[in-house]
Amino acid sequence: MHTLLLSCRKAAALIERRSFAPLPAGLSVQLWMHTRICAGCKAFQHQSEVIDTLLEQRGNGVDAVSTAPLEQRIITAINDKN
Amino acid sequence: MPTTDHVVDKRAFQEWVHAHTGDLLRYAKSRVREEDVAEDLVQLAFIAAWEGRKKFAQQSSPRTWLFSILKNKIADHWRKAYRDPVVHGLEPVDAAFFTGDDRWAPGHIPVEWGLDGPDQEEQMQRFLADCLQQLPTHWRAAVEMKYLKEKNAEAICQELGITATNYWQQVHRAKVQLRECISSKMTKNHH
Ligand SMILES: [Zn+2]
Repeated sequence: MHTLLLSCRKAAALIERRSFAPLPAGLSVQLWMHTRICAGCKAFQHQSEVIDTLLEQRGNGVDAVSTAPLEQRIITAINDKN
Repeated sequence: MPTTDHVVDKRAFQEWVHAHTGDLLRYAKSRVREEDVAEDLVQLAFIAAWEGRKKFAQQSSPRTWLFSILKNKIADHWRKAYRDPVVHGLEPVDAAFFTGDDRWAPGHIPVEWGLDGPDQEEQMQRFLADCLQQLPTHWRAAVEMKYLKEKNAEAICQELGITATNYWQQVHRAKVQLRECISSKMTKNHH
């Protein structure tokens, strides 16, 4: 018989593992129960989702950078190609 | 000269370079450590696109096609970095964040960030960028491979020569580290 109580360390790891593949049903229930009673892991779960979104959205900003020199280098490299 | 050469001619391709270099470079800079590496990867992507221009299907947009080539170049970059044996063995352990009985250690217990306002997103992106730079190289590589999403996890594991368990655990340790780093920046910012 296995314990119903996950440790925080294990719960935190399962939160990430779940984003790669579905958890077995038993683990999924244990994780759900853990995050209901553990504020730390609940916050961890939220923050993990925020970080996922931030990671996905990187580089979508509109900060202006001058790319003219790079564009010229690329065009020169292409011109050298034939 | 075969007629297919004219599908994308040099003049049209140069317009692509002018139209898309900015977006491609911004994307690359957010996903590798060094700016000059980002520029090299964008250049390599354009050269690969030019050499493979016959494979460009008209129904896909140039932008989508160029981005998919760039993502492959970024994946190649991190795969090489990952395999560099020098970086292994230097990884910090997540043990520091937990007590002996695997609870969150005092001072490391996650507390809700209480995000508000759209202006905060820009700040969070800056924090994230700083924190990413501090990750050990192969954790960063594992994270970058995951978010390129060009390949499934199985293919990535095969390329990196690690097990699926190893892979998600590395992403996990990296995320624990990133969370801690972002939290501390937010705390500093509030005082
Ligand atoms: Zn917990």
